[in-house]
Amino acid sequence: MATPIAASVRIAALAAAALLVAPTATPAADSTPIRIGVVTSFSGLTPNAGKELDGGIAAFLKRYGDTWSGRKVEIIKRDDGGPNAEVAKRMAQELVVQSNVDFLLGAAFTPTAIAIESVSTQAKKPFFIVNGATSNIMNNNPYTSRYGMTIAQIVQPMSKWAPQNGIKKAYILVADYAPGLESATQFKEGFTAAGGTIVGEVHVPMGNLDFSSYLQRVKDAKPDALYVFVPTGQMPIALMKGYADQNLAKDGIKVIGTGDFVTEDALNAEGDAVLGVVTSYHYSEAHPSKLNDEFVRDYTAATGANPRPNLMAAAAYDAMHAIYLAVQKTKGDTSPDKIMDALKGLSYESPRGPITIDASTRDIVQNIYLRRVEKKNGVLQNVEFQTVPMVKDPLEK
Amino acid sequence: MIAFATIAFAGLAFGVVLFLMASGLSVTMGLMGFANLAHATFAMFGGYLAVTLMNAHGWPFLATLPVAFVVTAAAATVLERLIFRRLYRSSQLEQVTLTIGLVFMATAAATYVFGSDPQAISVPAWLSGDLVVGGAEINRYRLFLVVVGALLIVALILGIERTTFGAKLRAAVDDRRATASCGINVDRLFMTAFFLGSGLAGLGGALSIPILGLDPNFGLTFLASILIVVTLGGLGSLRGTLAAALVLGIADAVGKYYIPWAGAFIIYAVTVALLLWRPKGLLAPR
Repeated sequence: MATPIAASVRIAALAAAALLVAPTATPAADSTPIRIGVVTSFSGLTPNAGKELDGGIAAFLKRYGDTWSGRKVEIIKRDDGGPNAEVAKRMAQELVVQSNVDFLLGAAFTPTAIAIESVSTQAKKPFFIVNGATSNIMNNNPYTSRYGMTIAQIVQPMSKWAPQNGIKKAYILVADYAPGLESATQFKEGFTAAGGTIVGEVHVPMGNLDFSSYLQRVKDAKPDALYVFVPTGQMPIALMKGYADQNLAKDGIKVIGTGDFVTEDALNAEGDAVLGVVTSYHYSEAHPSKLNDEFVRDYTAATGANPRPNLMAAAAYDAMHAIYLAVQKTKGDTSPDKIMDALKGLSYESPRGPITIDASTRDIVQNIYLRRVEKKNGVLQNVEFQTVPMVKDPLEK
Repeated sequence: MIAFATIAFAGLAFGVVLFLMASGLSVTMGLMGFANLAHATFAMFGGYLAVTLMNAHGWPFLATLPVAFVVTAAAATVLERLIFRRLYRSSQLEQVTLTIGLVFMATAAATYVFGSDPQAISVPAWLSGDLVVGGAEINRYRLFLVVVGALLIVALILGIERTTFGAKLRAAVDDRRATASCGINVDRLFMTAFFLGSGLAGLGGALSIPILGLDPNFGLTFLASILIVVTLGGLGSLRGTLAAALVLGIADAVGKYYIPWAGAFIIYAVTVALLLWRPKGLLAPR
């Protein structure tokens, strides 16, 4: 219940507003800017995430301009400094309360995505997740939609492809953190269901850079392939160096996994050690399409290709594209329910290929590609050789 | 047994790197009681120096090593003269605050100059791959580390135990005031020890890139390991530091092989057990 004073203030405000509006007979469309609040990591553990997201947004704005349906687009950025849920939440709140944003976009980790979701749900501001790969995090957050991937979505195609391609025995080596363990569970389920055997599993502490002991165990177990999930950065480099030095290839042990440890921003540093690694993933810089070529060109113009365009850049581009298409549908109206309606079932072309935002789960449905690391024009690339069309997150409820 | 030999050798090489990075800190802490948390950052400096010389200036790997030693030593000595020496008489809290501040500054500076990406270097072909010796596979680079490390260790031990400089240094570690009252310039002695210790850290940093990698967080990542080695070795004891570094390096590798689920915890369990047994350092009298 409003107090009498508040009520009278409100009446006065309404009267004033009416007076202000009155002279302009028919205010065609809203002329206030569309404000998009970005929260992601521009510093801390993965400062590249922020740069890639920036580049993706810049590439999109270059292509589609910064005036949509007659309204200027404003991007307001905030740094969460890494996987810090509290900071991400505070930044999202500040964007909503003080900067008056219409949309929230970003996140680089599941914990920060969940934190921003809670703000989105309370404030009814549509939130576009760029990265945060845990399944079912959007169930109770009706104003959230996802433009990255989920771990189950990218692991499943690999767990089916491997047994069909001569890999009967696999050894699992994952980093000992939530995404690594989830990836291991998903792979084990799919791989054994398809007739494969897991001959060993090891969870390596985060930050471990000396893999010689672990790789010796792998060698002893004589698998056909080593299934790997480690975060990008130092760990994959050290792992693949150990793989080369200890000559696991000679024993016929291949390296497979999801594309997380051979993302484009890490490939140059990883070097020739990762040649021949087979992974399943949703985005590759080398994806052969006209749109992707143009995306890479515009991204490169904006960032100097440092870091190289990767999943994060593509997801930021696609999230911007989703907002653009939704605003077009609503003719410039940014009221949250209309935007969410417009998003449901939205299908469009992404630099990674065709994508759809599922009408009921608001999660991304996309092609997953099997790719091999090869040298293309002297540059290491994930070259796609097989497409698993329009994969839905198998865990989504 | 062959697997054990392979693993133990890998651990030995890791131990050598730990020793190179920790020995300087042990001596300077033993001598001046100065808690220098930026010591691992000197190693990072040496690492980036080697990377820059190799990747941007085309230097061969081996040629970068002496440069990493000398330039790191010189740069650290300048820091010591300008900043550190003012705090020798301060409380350890002030020393720790100052030096950890330097670590953060160095991390930010390295991120600014080199980016947050891990750095890669390529070692010469004769140093990569494995050598099969009686069934055990010995990594060539680790073998190189062990050989270089052994030569340096012998030189260091002879230097400390057989030269006048070494005798003065040992005397100063035991009793600084008595040494000074004999007319020995402890300040200059310390500067020399600091120069050599920092140089070793820089060299260790450059040598460790192929097995430990290098990124702007190096100074923090390996700080804990280095402090453990120094503590376990006993302040100022070169042989103790060597023993601690090798024990920890081998325990880490062997532990990860036989009990992989315990992973990174093993090194700490060993540390606690050894400290309970020998609180003043592995080779110190009880």
